[in-house]
Amino acid sequence: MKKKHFCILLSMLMAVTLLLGCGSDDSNSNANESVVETTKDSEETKASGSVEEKAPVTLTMWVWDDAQVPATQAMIDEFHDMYPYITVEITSIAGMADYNTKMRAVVGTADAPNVFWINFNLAKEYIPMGFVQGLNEFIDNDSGFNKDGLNASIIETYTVDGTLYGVPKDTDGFAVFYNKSLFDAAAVDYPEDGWTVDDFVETAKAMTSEGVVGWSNSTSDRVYYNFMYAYGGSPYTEDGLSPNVNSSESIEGMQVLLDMMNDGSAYSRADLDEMGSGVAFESNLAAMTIDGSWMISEFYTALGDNLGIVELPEGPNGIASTGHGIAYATTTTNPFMEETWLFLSYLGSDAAQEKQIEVVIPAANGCASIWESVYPDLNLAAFTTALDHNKSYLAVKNATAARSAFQEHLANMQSGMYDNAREAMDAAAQAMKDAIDE
Amino acid sequence: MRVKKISKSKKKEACTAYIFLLPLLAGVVMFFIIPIIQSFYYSLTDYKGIGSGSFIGLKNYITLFTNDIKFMAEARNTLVYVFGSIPVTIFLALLIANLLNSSIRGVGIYRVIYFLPNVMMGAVVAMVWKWLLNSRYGLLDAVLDFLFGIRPAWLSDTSLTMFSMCMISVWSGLGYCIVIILAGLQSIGTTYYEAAKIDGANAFQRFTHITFPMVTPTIFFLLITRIIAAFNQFDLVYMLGGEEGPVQESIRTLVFGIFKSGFTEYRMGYASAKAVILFLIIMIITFFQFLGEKKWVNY
Amino acid sequence: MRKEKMMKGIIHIILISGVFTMLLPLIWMIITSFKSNIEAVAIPMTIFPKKWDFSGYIRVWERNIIRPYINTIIVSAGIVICQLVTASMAAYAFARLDFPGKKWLFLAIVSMLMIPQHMTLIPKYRIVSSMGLVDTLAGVVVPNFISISVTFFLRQGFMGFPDELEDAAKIDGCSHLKIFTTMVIPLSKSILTAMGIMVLLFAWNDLLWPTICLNSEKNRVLSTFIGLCKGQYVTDYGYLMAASTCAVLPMIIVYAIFQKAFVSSITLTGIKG
Repeated sequence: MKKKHFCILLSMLMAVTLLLGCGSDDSNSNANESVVETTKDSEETKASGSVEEKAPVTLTMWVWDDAQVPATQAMIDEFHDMYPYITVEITSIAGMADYNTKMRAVVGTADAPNVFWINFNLAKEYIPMGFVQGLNEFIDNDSGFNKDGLNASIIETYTVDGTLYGVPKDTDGFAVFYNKSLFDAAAVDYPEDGWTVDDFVETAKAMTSEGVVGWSNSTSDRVYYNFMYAYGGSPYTEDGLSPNVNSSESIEGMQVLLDMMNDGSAYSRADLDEMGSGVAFESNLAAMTIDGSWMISEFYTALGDNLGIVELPEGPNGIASTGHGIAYATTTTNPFMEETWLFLSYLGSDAAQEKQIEVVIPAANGCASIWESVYPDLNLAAFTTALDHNKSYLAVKNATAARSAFQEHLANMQSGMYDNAREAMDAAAQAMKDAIDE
Repeated sequence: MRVKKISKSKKKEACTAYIFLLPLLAGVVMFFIIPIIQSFYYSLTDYKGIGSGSFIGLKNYITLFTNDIKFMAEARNTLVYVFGSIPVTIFLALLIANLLNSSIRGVGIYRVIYFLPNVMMGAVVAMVWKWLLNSRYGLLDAVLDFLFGIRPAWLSDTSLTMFSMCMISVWSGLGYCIVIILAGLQSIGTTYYEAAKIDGANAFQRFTHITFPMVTPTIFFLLITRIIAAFNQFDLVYMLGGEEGPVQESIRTLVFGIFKSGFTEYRMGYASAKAVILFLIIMIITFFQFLGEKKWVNY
Repeated sequence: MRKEKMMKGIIHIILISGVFTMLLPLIWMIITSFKSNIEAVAIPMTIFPKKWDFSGYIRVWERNIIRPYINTIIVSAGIVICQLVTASMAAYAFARLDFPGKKWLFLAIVSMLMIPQHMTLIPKYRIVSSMGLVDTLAGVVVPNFISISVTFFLRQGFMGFPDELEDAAKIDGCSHLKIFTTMVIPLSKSILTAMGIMVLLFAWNDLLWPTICLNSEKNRVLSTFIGLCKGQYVTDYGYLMAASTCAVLPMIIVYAIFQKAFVSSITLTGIKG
C-alpha cells in the first residue's frame, strides 16, 4: 500500500519535472542576452552607422497558412543574411477562427506577435480597435521602401484616413476555369478572352447535359459581386457606408446568375452543399467554374492539360474582379519596432515577394511577369487582367457583419427562397444596412 | 435551551473534506468562475472582442428576445437536438454495453470496434458522413435506392438535416457512453445474479430488477453530462452546415450562434448575453434533474 | 446448454450488425490516407485508391511527427494524472464525507460544466500567461489539471460502495486519507481506468487550448500538428488522413490493452467467462 502511494507520488513528480523542463520560454525573453558585436554586411546600406554593437533580436511572426511556410522561411533566411542579428520565428496557426482567437488573447501583452498576417476582414476590425501600427512614419524615413511598386488597390484597402497599416504581401483575382476535355466531348468552342456575359450564359447552357453542369455556381459572395460590378452596380456605395446590392444594376447582374441556376445550367444550393464547386470541377462534373487564383495549383493537379483559363466575361460595364490581398502588419506595442520595420521593408521588396510565386500572386507589381511563368502552359494573363480591374467589396463599418448578412441572403436565394433577385437583394440590403448601422 | 453541539469528529470530517476539495475548487474558481463573471459583465456591454466596450445595460438581452428570430430558432433547434439524440444514445449504449459485458467469443474485439468512432477526429468523422449521406453518390442512398427506390437528401433537405445530425451524434456518442456504462456495470456484485438465478429469474428479469437499478447512478451521470455536452454542440453544425445557408439554419444551435456573433461578427457583448442565457437554460434543466435524483437513482 | 448457445448466437448477430457502421470511418480514413488529395474528395467517391499515393505520409514524415508525438504523450500523461488525483480526492469528499453545503456545492460545481469552451479561453490564457507558461507544455496542462465531469463520475462510483466500508476502519482510528488510499482507491480500479482512458482521449485530441497556448514548432502536439493540413485556401487531405491515422493508432492500442481492466469476467447471464 505504501509502495503504491510512493509510486504515484514519484510519477507525479516526474511528470511535473518533465513538463517544466520541456517546452520553451517565450522567445522574446532571449532578446536581452549578451551583447554581440556584428560586422555589417558590406552590401547592406539600410542600417544607420557602420560597425555597431547590436543585441540579437528575435521576432515572432504569425501566419495562418502552413503551405506558405517554406516560402516565408526562404524570405526569413535571406533577411537573416542581411541582418544576422535579427532572427524571425514563424508561428503557424491553422484556420482563421483560431488565429483570431489567439490574437485576441495576446493583444496588448508581451506575447503579441511582432509581425502578423492581416487580411481585409481582419483589417476592418483590427485597425479601428487601434492596436495595429501605422507605418507612414517609417515609410517616409526609409528611402529603400518602394510603396508604388506594390499593388495600388491593396495599398488602398489597408490605408485608413491616409495612414497605411500594412505592407501588402499578395493579391488575387478571379477568372473562369474550364475543362477542355468536356468542351471537346460536347464539340463546343473554348471560351476566349474578351467574351461577354451573354456568351458565358450560352456556353453554360450548351455545356449542360446529363451528368455535366455548365457552370458549377459558387457559394462565394465575391463571385457574385464581380457580376454586380460588370453590370454597373456594386455591393456598397462609394463611401462604403450603405449597401448598394439592390440597385437596379446590381440586381440585373444577380438575376443573370439566378436564371442560370433556375434553368439548370448552374448548380443549386443543395447541389453545392453536397458537393462543392471546386470538387465538382475537379471531378469533371462541371464544365466551368469561377474561382480565384489560389485554386490554380489544385485545379492544375486535378486536370493537368485539360485545364483552361479565360478572363471573366464582360458585362455592359466591363470586367471586375473583387481582389483581395494579405498584408504584413505589426502592433503598436511592439518593443522591437526598428528591427520589425527592417523586416517589413524587406518583405515589401521584389526580392522577398518573388519567393512566394509558387503559391500566391505577389503584391509587388514587378513580380507579375515572373509569376506568369510558373505555369507556362496556362493563360495566367487572365488573372493579371483581373488584377487591373480590382474592385473593393467591403463596407467601411461592421464589414464582417454586413458581409455575413449578404452571404446569408445569397444562400437563401440560391436555395430558391425568393422568386427573383430583386426580392432577395431588397431583403439583403435591409439586413446589411442593419448590420452596418449597429 | 437548545445547545447546538457539533461533535469534534464531524468538524474534523468537514475539515478533511475541504482539504480534499481544495485542488478542485482552486481550479474551478480560476478557470470557470472568473470566465462566468466576465461573461456576465461583457453581456452588459457592446464589447467587440478586443479593447473595451461601453456599458449598455440590458440592451443585448432585450434585442435577443424581441428582435432576434434566429435566436429563437437556435433555441428550438438545440432542444430538438438534445432531446432527440441523448435518450436514444443512452438507451442504445445501455443495450450494447450489456451485450459487450458477456463472455461470447471475441467480445474484446467487439468492444474495441464499438469504441472506434470515439477516437476519430471530428473533421474526419464529418468527411466520412458527408460521403455516406451524399444523395447522389453516397453509400446509404445507393442502398436505399436499390431496396426502395428512394434517395433522400440527408444533408441538403432541410426537413431531414436535423435528423441526420442527431443520427451522427448518436453514432459518435455511443462509444463514450458504452465505456462508462461498462465500468458502471462492474459495481454490481455477482451475488445478486446468483441469487436471482436460484430464484429462477430469466435474463430479462435479471436485467430489469438487478442490472438496470444498479446502473442508475451511471445513467444519471450520463444524462447530465451528455445533455450538457449536447447543448454545447458546435462541430457538427459547422461541418454539416457551413457558415450560412438554409442547411445551417435548420441545424443551428445556440452555441453556434454564440460563435457566430462573437467570433465572426465581432459582437462579443451580444455573444456573451447569449452565453448567459444558454447557461441559465442548462442550469434549470440540470437542477430539475438533480431534484429527481432521489426518485430513481439507487446508490 | 442449447439455450446459452442460442443466447450467445443472438448476441453475436446483434453486435455484428453494428460493426460495419462503427468500423467504417476508421477504415475509410486509413484507406484515404493512401489517396492523392484530388482523389480523396473526388466525386463519385472511390473506396480503394485508383493509384496508391504515399505522399501524405511523406509530408507527415517531412514535417517531423516524432516531436509532436512525444509532446502529446507528456501532456496527456500530465493531464491524466492530475485529473485522476484531484477528481478522486474531491469525489471522495462529496461521496463519503459529510460537510455543510455539500449538496449545493456539488450542484454549483456541476453547473460549471455548462460553460462553452470558447468562453473560457481568454481567461485561461491570462492566467497561464501570468505564470509565464505560454508556449510551454506545462501551460497546456495547467488549465486542465481538474475535471468536473471526472469528479462527478467518480462521485457516482464512490457513492455506490456500501455504507459500512469505512466503519471498521474508523473504529481502528484510521484517518480519512488512509481510508481513501488504502480502501477506496483499490476498489475503484475499473472506474478509474475507464475515466483514465476518457481523459487520455480528451487530452490526446484536444485542439482548441493547445492552439491558443502554444506557438513554436518544437512545442507542437499531435492535434495542432494535424491541424496544419488546413491551409488558407485548400486542405491537404492526404496529410490530414495520414497524420490522423498515425495519431489514432496509439489510442486504439491503449484502449485495446486497458479495456479488460474495466470489464469483469462475470456476465449478465451469470456465466463465468
